[in-house]
Amino acid sequence: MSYKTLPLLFINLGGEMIYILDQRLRAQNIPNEKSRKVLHDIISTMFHKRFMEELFKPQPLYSKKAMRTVFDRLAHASIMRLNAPSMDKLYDLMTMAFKYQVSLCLRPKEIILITLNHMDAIRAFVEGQPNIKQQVDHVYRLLIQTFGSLSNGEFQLIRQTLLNFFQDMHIRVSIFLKDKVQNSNGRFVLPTGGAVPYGAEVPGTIKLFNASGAEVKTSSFNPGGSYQPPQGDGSLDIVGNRITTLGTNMYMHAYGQQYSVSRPVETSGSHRISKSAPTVSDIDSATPDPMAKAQLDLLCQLIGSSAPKSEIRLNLFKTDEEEEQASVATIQPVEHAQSKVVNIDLKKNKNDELSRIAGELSIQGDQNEAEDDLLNLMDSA
Amino acid sequence: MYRKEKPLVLKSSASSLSNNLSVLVALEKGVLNYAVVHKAVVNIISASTDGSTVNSRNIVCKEPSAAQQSTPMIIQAKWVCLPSRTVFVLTSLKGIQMFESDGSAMIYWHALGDVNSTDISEHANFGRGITGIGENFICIGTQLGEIHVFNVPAKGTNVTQKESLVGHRYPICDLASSGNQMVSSDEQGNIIIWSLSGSSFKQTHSINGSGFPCSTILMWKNVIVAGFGNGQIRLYSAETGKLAAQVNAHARWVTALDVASDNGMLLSASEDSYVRVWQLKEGNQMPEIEYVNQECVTDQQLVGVQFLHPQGKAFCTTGYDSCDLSFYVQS
Repeated sequence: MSYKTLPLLFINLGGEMIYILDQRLRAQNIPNEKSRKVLHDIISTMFHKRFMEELFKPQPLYSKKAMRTVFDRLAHASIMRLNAPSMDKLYDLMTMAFKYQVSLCLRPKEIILITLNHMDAIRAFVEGQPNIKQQVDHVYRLLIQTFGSLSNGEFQLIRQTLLNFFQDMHIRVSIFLKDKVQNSNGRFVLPTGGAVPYGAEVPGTIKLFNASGAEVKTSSFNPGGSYQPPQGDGSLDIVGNRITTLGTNMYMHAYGQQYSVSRPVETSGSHRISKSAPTVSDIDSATPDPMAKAQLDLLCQLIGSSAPKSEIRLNLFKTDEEEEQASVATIQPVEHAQSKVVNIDLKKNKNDELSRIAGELSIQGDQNEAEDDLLNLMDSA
Repeated sequence: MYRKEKPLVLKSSASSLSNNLSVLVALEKGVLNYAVVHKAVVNIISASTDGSTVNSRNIVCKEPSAAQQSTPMIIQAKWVCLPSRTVFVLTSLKGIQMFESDGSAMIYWHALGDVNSTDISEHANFGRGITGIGENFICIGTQLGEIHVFNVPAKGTNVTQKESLVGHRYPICDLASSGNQMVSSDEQGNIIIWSLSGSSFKQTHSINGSGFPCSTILMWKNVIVAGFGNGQIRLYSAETGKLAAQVNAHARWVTALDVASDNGMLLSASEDSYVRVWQLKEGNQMPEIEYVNQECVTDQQLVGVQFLHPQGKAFCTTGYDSCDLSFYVQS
């Protein structure tokens, strides 16, 4: 498939993660300063210059397992802690959201616009943090450099690679079910109507030409749905109108309005459908790609192994009891017999270059007071 | 005009690709064979024409001499019916494989790019676009824009590569042929018409694209039908390469086309969930097309469509992420 897909997958999933964590932090009334710190720490790790540059190198997509490991680590790159069922829930929401966006986008090139929507929101989250903002701006430049001039065909290959990654995932997400964009069988609703993609025309006309190239007959047919002409071409500039709303924060009532009343990250009613027997198509997770492993090692070193003195425990469910029930009831994904676990070993490091990079980093310890320990986690809703 | 019949269920879902359905009609045996790509596997269903017997099996794409560990994704799978034998061809990220028509035995494999190289750019050369032409040629397109021509003997495994046709500078999307003419399309929408005389190929016409991939293309008599990523279908004269018709056919990518050989009925499938049925005509000077009918497969991005009957009396279609082979039969 396309070897340019990984950064897009990572940035979009990361963006969704930030949206969800932001909403949960506010729903649990975590003080603003702490919430900001959590998000800033995660964003700063996500966009670490060296990690990003590794990600942008041409390579196959990580296996599903490796991708999940990346986000497990990232979610703990701050003073926030998630229990296993909450982490599962978070990852399910992230992946289904991006799958939705890739499925619904009008044309493959929109994937870069969706990515820029996520980037725009992330940039807004780090206003007032010049160091992190600089990291984010660097990624804008990497994105525009890598994807700015790709052809429609190359974007279609990227789209096909992403859809391949998301194939057979049909986890039901309450917010999608409520908005009627997902059916009860987990499939997305594909509307037959609406604006056609930029560069396309509304279906319904047939033009016939003669041998000299003159149009000799036009006829029409009813295309079933109610289609409209395309909207504009979205902007690929660092600041610009992306046109599409895919990739903006769907947990906000009104797109574009920050800090307004947010929509709940509904967690009840979502079912994890476990895989039964490993299928042949899971062979891709059987042998970890050495490049993926090296990058995961780097990520772990960036995050560091220091245990924070105080933590914020985030719950993706409405109550502690619900979270506990979920951990009992959730059928754990079957460990594939033939898959080797990607072992992240923080101590051994065979790669000198990565050790050097890790050594350059300084991870600030948290100086929080005791009162921050174990905040009240009952949801006020 | 068509009514929906009970679907056949594939062992695993169809991948998001163009031309992701191949059908081999073996009426003398009373069997229809269907092949659909799922990641690194091709799911094959063989069903008797009365529907009583259904067998499923699959072909797994393994790289015969891989140094790389990542799984090769299959890009296209297709039965090619040459005069002397039918061959099942599979293209992947890494190479080309040919099997006996029942998929039982591999008869040939060909690596594209250097499988042993760790440099990504060396082994990023997938195969896409498959067609048979002449007595024993199978042509396969590549990401680098070449068309490899293979000479397939009437029996056995002695397949050899005859030559590589150069003409496209962009990744090939699809190939089709009719008689001694072959047509090739690429990711910029460029189309080249080739003519085979004896055993040598010659470019006869070249049609410029406008930036949207021509993801699917076919030939019927003197008509070239091309489907594009912007939802358009265009007709060209195979003799002159001139544009004969332009149809705003779909609201999304056109992923597959098929024609009923006896009467020129045409099917187009798209990611907009529609299969549309058209009528092709050779016309006086230029080919013509008329709209006939449409079927909507709700909530599916369609990735393949094939007639099951030379007069278009039945067809089936596949959709991304779906295990259904949806059937439509003329009522």
